[in-house]
Amino acid sequence: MWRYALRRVLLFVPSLFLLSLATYGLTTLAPGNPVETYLFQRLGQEPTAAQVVQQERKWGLDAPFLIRYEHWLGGVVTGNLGTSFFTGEPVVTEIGHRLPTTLRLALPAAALALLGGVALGSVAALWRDSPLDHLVRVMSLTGASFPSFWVGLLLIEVFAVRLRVLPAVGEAGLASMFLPVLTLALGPMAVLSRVMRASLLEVLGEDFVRTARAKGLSTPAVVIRHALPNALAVVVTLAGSITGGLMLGTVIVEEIFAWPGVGQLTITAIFDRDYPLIQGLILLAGTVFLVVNLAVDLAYPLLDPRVRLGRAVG
Amino acid sequence: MSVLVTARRTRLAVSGVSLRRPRAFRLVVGSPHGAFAVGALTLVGSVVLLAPYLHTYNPDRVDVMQRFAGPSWSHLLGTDWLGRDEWSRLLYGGRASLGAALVVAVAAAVVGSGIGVVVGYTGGILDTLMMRIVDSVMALPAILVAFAILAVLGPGFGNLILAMVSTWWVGYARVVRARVLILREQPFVDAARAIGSTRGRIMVHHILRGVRGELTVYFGLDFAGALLGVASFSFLGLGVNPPTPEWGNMLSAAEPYQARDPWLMVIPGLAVGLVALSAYLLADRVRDVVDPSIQAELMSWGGRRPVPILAPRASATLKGGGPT
Amino acid sequence: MSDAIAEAKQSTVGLGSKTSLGSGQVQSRREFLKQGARLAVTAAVGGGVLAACGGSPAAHSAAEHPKGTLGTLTMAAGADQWPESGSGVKSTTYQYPFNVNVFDTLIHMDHTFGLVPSLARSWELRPPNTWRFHLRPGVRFHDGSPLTSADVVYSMNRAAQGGQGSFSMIGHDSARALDSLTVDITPTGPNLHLPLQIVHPELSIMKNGTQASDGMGTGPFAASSYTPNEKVVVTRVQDYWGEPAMVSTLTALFVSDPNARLLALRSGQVDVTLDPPPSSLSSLSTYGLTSTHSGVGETLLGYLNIHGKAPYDLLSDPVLRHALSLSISREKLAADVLTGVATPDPAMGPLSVLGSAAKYIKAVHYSHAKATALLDQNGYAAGTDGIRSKGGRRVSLALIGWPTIDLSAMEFIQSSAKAVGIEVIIHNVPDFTSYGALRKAGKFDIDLELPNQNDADPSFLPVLRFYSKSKSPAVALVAPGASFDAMVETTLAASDIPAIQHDSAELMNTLVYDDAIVIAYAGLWRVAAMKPAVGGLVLHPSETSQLWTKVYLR
Repeated sequence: MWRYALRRVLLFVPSLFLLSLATYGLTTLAPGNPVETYLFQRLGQEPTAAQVVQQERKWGLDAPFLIRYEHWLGGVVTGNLGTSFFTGEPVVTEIGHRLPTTLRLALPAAALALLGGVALGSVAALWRDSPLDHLVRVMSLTGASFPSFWVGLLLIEVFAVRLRVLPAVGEAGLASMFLPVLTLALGPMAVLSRVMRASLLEVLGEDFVRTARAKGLSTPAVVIRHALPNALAVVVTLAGSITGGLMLGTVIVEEIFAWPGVGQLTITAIFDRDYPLIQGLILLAGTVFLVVNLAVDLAYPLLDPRVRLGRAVG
Repeated sequence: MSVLVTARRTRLAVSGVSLRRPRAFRLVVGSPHGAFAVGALTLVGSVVLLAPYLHTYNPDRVDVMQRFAGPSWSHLLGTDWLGRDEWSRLLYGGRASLGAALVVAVAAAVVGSGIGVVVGYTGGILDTLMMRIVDSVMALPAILVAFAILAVLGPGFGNLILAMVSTWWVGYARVVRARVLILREQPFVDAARAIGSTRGRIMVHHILRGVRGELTVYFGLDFAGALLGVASFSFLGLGVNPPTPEWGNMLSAAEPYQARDPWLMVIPGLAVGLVALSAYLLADRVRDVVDPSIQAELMSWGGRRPVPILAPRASATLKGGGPT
Repeated sequence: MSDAIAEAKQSTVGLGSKTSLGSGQVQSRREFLKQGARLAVTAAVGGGVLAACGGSPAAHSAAEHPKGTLGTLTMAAGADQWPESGSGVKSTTYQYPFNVNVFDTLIHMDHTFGLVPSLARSWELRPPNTWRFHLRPGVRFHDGSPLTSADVVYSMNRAAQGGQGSFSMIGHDSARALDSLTVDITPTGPNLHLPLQIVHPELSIMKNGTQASDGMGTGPFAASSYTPNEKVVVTRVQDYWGEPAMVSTLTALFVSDPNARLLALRSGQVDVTLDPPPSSLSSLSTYGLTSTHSGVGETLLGYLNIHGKAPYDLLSDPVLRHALSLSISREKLAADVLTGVATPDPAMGPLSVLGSAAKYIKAVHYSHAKATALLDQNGYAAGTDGIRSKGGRRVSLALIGWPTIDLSAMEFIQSSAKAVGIEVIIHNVPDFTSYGALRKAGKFDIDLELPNQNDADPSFLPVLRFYSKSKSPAVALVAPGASFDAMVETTLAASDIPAIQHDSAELMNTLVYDDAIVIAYAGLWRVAAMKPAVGGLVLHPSETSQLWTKVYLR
C-alpha cells in the first residue's frame, strides 16, 4: 500500500509540472500585455512606450519565456510563488486572503450536496421504481440542467427581491449563504443522488447484505449497518470530480453573489494577465484536485470492506 | 474479488445486448422518461432545423420603436432590448447552440475515445504518459484553458468550440481507457489475436464495439454539459460575436434587463434547460436499454470502482476466477 | 471677495440638489448647472484674484437636514478600486468611490467642471511656468495634525514617482515649499493648464510620509474599515474645515455585476446602487425606487483608423468616414437604446467642460439620404446582400471597443451602418488586455471608447489621443497630421480658460465634423438608483470627484 501511495505521489509531481508549464505557456501566448493594462489602470491614461519598457523590466517580463519559467519554478521549489503584478502582494498572501471566503461557500455546498444527494439517492433506491424514485431522478436531473448563473439570478429574484427573506449579494452572515450555497450545490447534488441510488441498489443486491438479512436483521438495520456505509464508499470516489465541479461553479457563483473569493480572483487575474497570480491559482487548483483524487484512492480500500476482503484472500 | 467479478458481469451485459435499431428505439421510448426526452428533442430539433420556415422576422432586425414589447401575434414571444423578435432569435439561437453542443460532444468523443482506445490497448509508457496529460488537463480549470485559447485565436464561435473540445476529450479518454483495460484481457480479444488480427482491426472491431454502449451514454451526458458550458462561457464574456443569436449569448445579454423584462432571461434559459434535461433523461434511458445493470448506471454518473490496489493484476485473477 | 462667489455658488448648488429630486425638474437643474458653469469660470479665471477672506464655507446646510440623528447609508458600487493595497507609490488616491471624500485636492472640480478652491484658497501663475498655491490655514488631517506645505510637496513628489503626475508634467523637483502655507509647482515642461488638471484626485493631498492605503487625508470622511473586494466604510468628520457630511457612516459594497447591484437595491439590502444596468431605470418605479443622474461626464466615441494597413485601411477614405458618421441616429441611440443614461451630444467631450464655447460645436446630423448619396456618388455599389463594395472590395469594418461598453449600443451602430450598406463586424473582447492587444496591433477600423472627463481641461482628449507628439502610443493610427498639431500647440499655449475652451471646441470640430476621424455617438450620464428615503444625492459627472457630503436619509 505504501509503495502504491509513493508511486502516486511521484507521478503527481510531473503532473503538476506539466500543468504549470502548460499554463505558463498559455498565459504567455495570450496576446495583450499586462503592463499596459496595469499602467492604464494606475495612471488613468495610456502609458508611454518608455513607461511600458520600464515596467516590463521591473516585472522581469523582458526575459525570454523559458528563463522566466525557470525563475518561477525555482521560486516554487523554495516555497516562493512570487508577487502579484497588480497588487504588489505576495501571491500566497493574496490567495490566502480569498481562500477562506471560497471555502465558506464551497464546503457548505459540498456538505449540502452530499447530504442531499445521499438522502435523495437512498430514498430513490429504497423505493425503487416507485413514483418517488421517478420524481427524485427527474428532479435531480432538472437541478443539473440549467446554467448555474441563471438559477442563481432567479433564486435572488424570488427569495431576495420578491419574498425579501434572504439578502441578495455579499457576504453578511449565515442568511447570505443560503442562495449561493444552494446554487452551487444543485449540480453536484444531482450527480451524487444518482450515484448514491445506484450504489445502494448494487450493495443491496450483494451477498453479504443478503446474508445479513438471512440472519434475521430487519431491513432498516441492514440498510443502516451494512448497505449505507458500503454505498457511501462509492460516493467518496466522486470527491475528485465534485471538487473539480465546485471549482468551476464558484467562479460563476462568486461573480453573481459578489463573494470576494478565489473564483473572482481567478477571473480578475486572467483578465489582467497577472501571470504570477494565475500560476499560483492554477497550482492551487491542480494541487487540490490531485490531492483529493490521491486521498480517495488511498482511502478507498479502508472504506470498502470488499476490497479489504480481497486483500485477505489475495 | 467481487469487484472483478462484477466487472466481468458487466462485460457480459455489454457484449450481450445488440444495438439493432428498431428494438433499441422501442425500448427507449417505452418509458415515460424516454418518451418525454425523445419527444422534446425531436420537437426542439425540428423546430430549430425548420427555423428558415418558422421564423417571423429576420433575427437581427433592429426596431428600437418596439423594444421590450410583450407577446403578441406579430411577436410571438415579444421583443428584446433592441426590438428584435424573440421567437425568431430563439429559433436561430437554437441552431447555433445545439450545433455547437453537438460539435463539441462529437469532436470530444472522437478525439477522446480514439486516444483512450489506443493508449489503453497499447499500454506501457505511452499509456502512463497520456494518463499524466489527462490528469493535468483535468486539473486545469477549464475556463483558463478556454480563455487562453480564445485569447490567442481571438473570440469567435469556432474558437469557443475548439477551446471546449481541448479540455473535454479527457473524459472520454478516461472512460474508454478504463473499459479497454478490462476488454483487452477478454477471451474474444485473445482469440482475435490468435487468429492473426491486426492491432488496428482489434481496436476498431472488438474494443470500440465493446465500449459502444458506454460511449452513447456518455455522449448524451456530454451533449447536455456542452450546452451548459457554452452558456457559461457566454456569461463570462467569451461567447459568440453579436449579432449572431445563441441561447447562452441571449441569456447572458438579457441579464442586465432582469428588472425590466425578466422573460428575456427566462425564455432562453428554459430552452437550454429543456434540451439539457431531455439529453440527460435520454442518456439515462439509453443506458438502461444497453446495459440495465446497476453497475453501468453507477459508472455512467462517474461512480468508479478502482482496481483494488493490493490485488494482483487483473489479467491474472480474471482467468483464475474469484472466490465468490 | 471671490470666496464669496464660491460660497454663493456652493449654497446654490445645494439648492440645485434639492430641486433635482423630482425627475421632472431635471431639466431645470441642468439649466441651473450651466449657469453655475459660467460662474465657475469667472471664479477660476483669475486664480490670482482669489485672495483669502478666511473662514470656510459654513455648515449652514444642516438647516436643510430633517430633524433626527444622522443616518448611515449603504450603497452598491462597482468593483473594488480602493487604493491598491500595495506599498509605496503603487497605490493611488484617485480611485473610486470614496477617495475624494477622504483626501481633499488643492482645487475641487464642481458638477459643471468649474474650479472651486479647496485646500488651496487661491493660486496664480508666476510666468513663465510656475503655479503658486496659497493653502487654506487651519485645515487638519484626520489624526489632528495640521496641513502644511510639506504635505503638499510630499504628495506631489509621490505622484511624480508613481507616474500619476506625468500627465500634468509634475516631476521630482516640481513642488517647492515657500513657507508653511505656500507651495510653488513648476511642471517639467510648459503646462499652462495645471490648475485645470490638478483637480484630478490622483493629485490629492495626503499626510507627509503616509501611503494612499493609510487613508490619512483632510476630507469630510475618514477611512474607517476596508475589506478588500467586499466593502469599505468611511465615517463623518465632525470638525471638517468645510461643509460637514449629513450622514454619519457611508458604506460601499463592491458588486461588479450591474444587475447584481440592482438586485441588492431591489431586495432592500442597500440604499443606493451606482450605475445600475441601463434600461432598468424605467422599471424602477414599479419597485418603489427612484433614480437620479448627473450631467454628461463620459462620451461614447468611435475613433476611425485612418492610417491602417490592409484590410484595416478602408477608412482612409473620408467619404466612407463621413457616410458612417451620417448613418447613425444619435437621437435614437440616446432615447431608445441607451434610455435614461445618455443624451445625443455632438461633441467629443461633455459640453459643459467647454463653457460658453459649447455653442461653437458643429453637430453631425443623421441623414440616411446623405449617407447613401455620398456612397453612391463615390462608386460604392451595393451587392446582393445590400453590403456595398468598391473596386472589388467589400465594405466590411472591424469594430473593437472597451469591454465596459454596452453591447446594445454596439449592436445599434452595427445595424445603422448596415442600413446604408456598410457591414460592421463586432469583435467582442472580454477584457481590456485583449482589447489593448487588438488596438496596438492596429486590427480595427472602428475603435469604440468611453473616455471620462475627470479633470477640467477640455483639451485633454484631443491632445492625448490625436496630437502626433502626444505621449500616448495609440495616436499613430488616428492622428490627423501637421495642421491639427499646430492647432493643438496654440491651445496648449493658452492659460486663459475661455481661450482654452474655445480652442478645444475647434479641435473637436476638426476631428468630428471636418475630418470625421471621430464619431461622437452620445454623451453619457452617471446614474444612481435609490430608495426614496435617500435625499440630496447630486451625481457628479466625473465619478472620481463625487462628494457624498450632501446626501442624507429622510
